[in-house]
Amino acid sequence: MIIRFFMLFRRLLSLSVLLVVYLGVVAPVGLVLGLVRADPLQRHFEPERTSYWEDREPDVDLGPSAHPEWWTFGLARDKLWLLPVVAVLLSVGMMVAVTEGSVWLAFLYPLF
Amino acid sequence: MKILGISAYYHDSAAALIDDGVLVAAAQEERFSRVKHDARFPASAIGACLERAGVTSVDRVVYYERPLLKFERLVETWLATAPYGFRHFAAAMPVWSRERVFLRRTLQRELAALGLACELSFCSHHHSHAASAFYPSPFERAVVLTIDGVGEWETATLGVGQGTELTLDRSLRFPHSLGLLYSAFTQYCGFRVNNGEYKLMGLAAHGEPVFAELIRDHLVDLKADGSFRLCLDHFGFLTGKAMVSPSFCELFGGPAREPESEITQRHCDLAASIQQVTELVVARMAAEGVRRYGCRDLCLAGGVALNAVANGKLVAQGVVDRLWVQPAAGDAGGALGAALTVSRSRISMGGGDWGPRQSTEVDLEGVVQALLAGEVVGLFQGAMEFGPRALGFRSILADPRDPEMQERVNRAVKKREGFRPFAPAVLEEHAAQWFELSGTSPHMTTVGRVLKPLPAVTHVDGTARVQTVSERDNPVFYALLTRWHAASGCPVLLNTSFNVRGQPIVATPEHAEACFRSTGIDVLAIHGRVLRL
Repeated sequence: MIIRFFMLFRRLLSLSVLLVVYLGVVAPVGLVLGLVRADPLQRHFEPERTSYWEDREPDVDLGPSAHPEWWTFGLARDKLWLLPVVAVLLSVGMMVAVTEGSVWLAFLYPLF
Repeated sequence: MKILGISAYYHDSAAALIDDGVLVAAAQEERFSRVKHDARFPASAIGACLERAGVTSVDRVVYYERPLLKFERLVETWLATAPYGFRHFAAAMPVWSRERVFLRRTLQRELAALGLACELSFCSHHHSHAASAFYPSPFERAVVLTIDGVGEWETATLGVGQGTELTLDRSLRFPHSLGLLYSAFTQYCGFRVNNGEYKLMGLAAHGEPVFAELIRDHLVDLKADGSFRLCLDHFGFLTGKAMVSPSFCELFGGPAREPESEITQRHCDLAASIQQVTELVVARMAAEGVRRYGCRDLCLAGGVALNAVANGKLVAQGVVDRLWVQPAAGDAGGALGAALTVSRSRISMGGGDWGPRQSTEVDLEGVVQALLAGEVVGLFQGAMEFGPRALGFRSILADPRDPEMQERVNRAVKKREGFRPFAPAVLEEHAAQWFELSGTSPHMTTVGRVLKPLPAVTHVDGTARVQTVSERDNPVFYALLTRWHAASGCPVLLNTSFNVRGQPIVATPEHAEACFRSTGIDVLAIHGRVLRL
């Protein structure tokens, strides 16, 4: 009974943290980006075009030694501006992931 | 050099091992874990590959996808759909932050637990599919087309392969996906996404494509070269809700069908309609490849390439001259493709039996006598198949001439929906007299018209998904079919996978015996013996 209560409590906590991050970071950044740039998902028909095929970036074998870590990755794909958003998301996401794995760590949440 | 390819963490995880440019082993995790479409790290499958190859280490591991690129797509999707995508965000974010974003570390940890410490690299999802389609094909030069739900950003790619070179230079991008469109209809018709697509394809033959115009007018903007965009207002997958949106249900006149509820003519018509649109898109994409690269041979892979009906029409309608489809066209085949992107070697898939080896002894006479008596036979011999089809190594066999047989096999073992047809296996040299096929179909990847009466394996539209059996690829099954032919005058057997509904195909003799005892299979042929209950 107590365990079940903790499970529910923990789930609610993680959901509310995720909701705060979503409303605090994802939604505003997304809404602003929606105003200033083209839709990355191209959610509209373009009747004047004869084709939607796009030229494809060639497959580069990064090789076993090249670590496609965040910095190189963002740089190569012209997506450096995405990194701060991703950093915030990941740190909170990780915290949620960690707490979902342990009942007691859930008590850390009220601290922030 | 030993190269291990891995696919995992989405659906159908698998492993494939290439040694000095030659395929030596490949297996799917679900066969060992007994969880259908198991997506966990394929530890057992890797173990089975190493054991079959007789090695304990590999030189390089290649993962079939670029996880960071995929995560970028997720973040972009969340940003683009804000503030409506919380459900999707809340479901994906914890998993991705825990293990997927740092997949290199996760994979290295899992590999280390198996004693494999080696270099690890990543290749793109569609390049894996393309490599799995081109390198095993019999063509020196061929157009390569991959179509699936989504891999990283891409949903379809087009390119050309020559010798050991493979270049993909055109693509369609998420969320405009033929695979997701087909899956949306799968879910709308009450079947499970990534599992029930076969059922929808089987259902299509029972309906008329009365909704095809509606789909083309409202759901897709299809160009002459096969490229298209989806009207996202009618779909829910971007925000993590159901595949289809309320406006989709409104458009097609009603709510989604409840799973396991009654199937009406309307559902058959919906299936026939999406099937027709799918065939049209695939044919136009293939034609664009033929035009662009000036080549009339085609290699296909990606989940949509498992649509054997669409494949059959490509050749029948003269879009291409020859077609080769990767038998494990779905994500399992990505493991093989990943290894091939590094080895870049031309290989042969043979009979598709790349899993753990077992005895090839079969009491042929006993099996033929049982089949003549109208019994349902479970056949277990040789190495396990790689890919979703049973090809005569882990198969249930029966007499295809008996009109009652489809219902008998269904009732006794498969317990599946009556509208789904069973497939025939035919001696390669007799295939032309019994089926209208262009070329051979050793891995059951294409559909052809049935020319002689075979009621148990003929679908309502007069076609069947044929497997042609050659002595080179599967000598034991070939010998069995030859003896059956001599005894019955018919070179065809009903061949369906050795499993119960909802479970993966059997892998070990123990699985086979358990399946035999718990179902209505009359006879089990295993280890040179014929067992009866």
